[in-house]
Amino acid sequence: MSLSWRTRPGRPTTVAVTSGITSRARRMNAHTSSYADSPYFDWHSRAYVAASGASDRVNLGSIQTLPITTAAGLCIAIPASLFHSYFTDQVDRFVVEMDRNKIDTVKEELKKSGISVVRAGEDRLIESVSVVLVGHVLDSDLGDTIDRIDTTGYAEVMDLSLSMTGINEPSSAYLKIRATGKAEIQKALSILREVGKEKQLLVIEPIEMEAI
Amino acid sequence: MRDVKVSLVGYGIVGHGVVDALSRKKAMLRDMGLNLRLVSVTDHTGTVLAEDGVDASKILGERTLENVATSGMKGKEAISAIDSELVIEVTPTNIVHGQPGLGHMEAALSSGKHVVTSNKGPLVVSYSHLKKLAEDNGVMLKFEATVGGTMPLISLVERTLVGNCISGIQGIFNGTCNYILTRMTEEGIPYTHALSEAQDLGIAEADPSYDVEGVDTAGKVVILANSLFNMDVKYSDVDVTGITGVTPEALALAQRKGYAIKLIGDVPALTVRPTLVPLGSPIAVSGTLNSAAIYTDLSGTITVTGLGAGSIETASAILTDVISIYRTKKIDAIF
Repeated sequence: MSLSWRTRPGRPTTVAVTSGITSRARRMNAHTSSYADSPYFDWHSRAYVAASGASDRVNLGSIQTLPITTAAGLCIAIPASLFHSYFTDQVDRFVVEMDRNKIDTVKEELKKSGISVVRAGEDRLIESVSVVLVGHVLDSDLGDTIDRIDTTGYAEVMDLSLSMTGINEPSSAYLKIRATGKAEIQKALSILREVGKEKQLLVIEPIEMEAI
Repeated sequence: MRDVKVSLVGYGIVGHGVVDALSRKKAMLRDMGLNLRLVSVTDHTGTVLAEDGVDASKILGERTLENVATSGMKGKEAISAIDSELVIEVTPTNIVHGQPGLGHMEAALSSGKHVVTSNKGPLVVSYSHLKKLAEDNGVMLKFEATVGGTMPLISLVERTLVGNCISGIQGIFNGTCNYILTRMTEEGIPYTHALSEAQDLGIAEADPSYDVEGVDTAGKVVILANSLFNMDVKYSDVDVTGITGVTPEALALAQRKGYAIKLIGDVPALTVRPTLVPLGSPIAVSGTLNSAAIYTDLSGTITVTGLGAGSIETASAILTDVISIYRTKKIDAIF
């Protein structure tokens, strides 16, 4: 589920989220000494400086008050702080995802703040995964294998490459599956695993990219 | 100088490497304050005993000890009878019942001897029992050489990364499979051809099923899970798929899309399966190399790579374990 909105109609360009924060942070260039020894502070400030291309340390201003202690915290803090104050003068347009049942409430709140929502409720296939199938991929009804993914409503096979050898020899297929989110990718993969068992296909999944 | 009497049980490829390494490193060990004396070498034909240390030059040319044995003692009997404080156990591995290594390790640990091993079987079958036996007897059980050969992994996690929480380890733990997959990719040859090439080069066994069916990798996954993740799992808990179903066409297709296919063991997921690894990823190593990505909370991802097998390479991991036992016990205090 996705939602995007626009703040200042007529603005010519889309401002990236990071550049919005950076310019804001730069403007707020306040004292940093009490935070300078903190590895978290250092880490964050470096991240922002890198985005802006500046070499000096910058302060996070009001973001400091948010519970930014981890990268996950940062992920929450950036859109939250943008939403709260920067939105009106820094960011032209960006997209967020949320549960379907929260969208109406958020739309109402945004409208009250003078923000117009330009598109809401559109499912987007934002995650993708590559899989290789080996075995009698065609003889075991490749169309059906693809349908099992496509009919889920949350995942689709977007790319398909086949490599065929002689009759009775195992063939191979490369599939790129797109889905609405990470959880949906996992669901699609587990469907494919089941299909693999059923049709005696070797399903070669990608390594989970924990940090590689 | 700390004098340590060492017994070696098992005289195959790794056993030869251990005798060679101990002999080569004698002077270096002495400089460290350790006088390791190899007082006995035992195999299935008998034992060579030498109170002053076995002369490596006299036995390294022998495939077995049949012609040089000075005693008929074998196995557990030799372990109990010989006066030593550390046993290096390198007999052939059996992942189903763990014998004969399991019996050897039990005998050594219960008589208060440290054990250093490259033998996976006993640890896969009976890790918690052996660990408890070692603790109850106040001795150490070290097994770096069981996973990834000379590639540092267990000691790296237990000591160097000790302040980190480890969320997972993924890697290539079998050099034979990696060699076969590498050759299939490079030459576009079918699995059977790559296998016979590996067999000709001595990289694969005459019966390759232990390697290519993923059994060996799964054994290593069990050892890592039990020792580093405090899990209590058995071989049967691992979901294993080998490499026999991988075709050169699949490898080529994956490569065109930016991936290599590698046999990846995953802890704590407890899986062993052919997996797509992005080309250029640090764990996508080629040939007989092993690799492991260790995911930590503080240090990010640490990747190691190294030779997973080989006589002197495995002996090197064993030697490291032997030294670490005396370092752990504060080598300074021993002088």
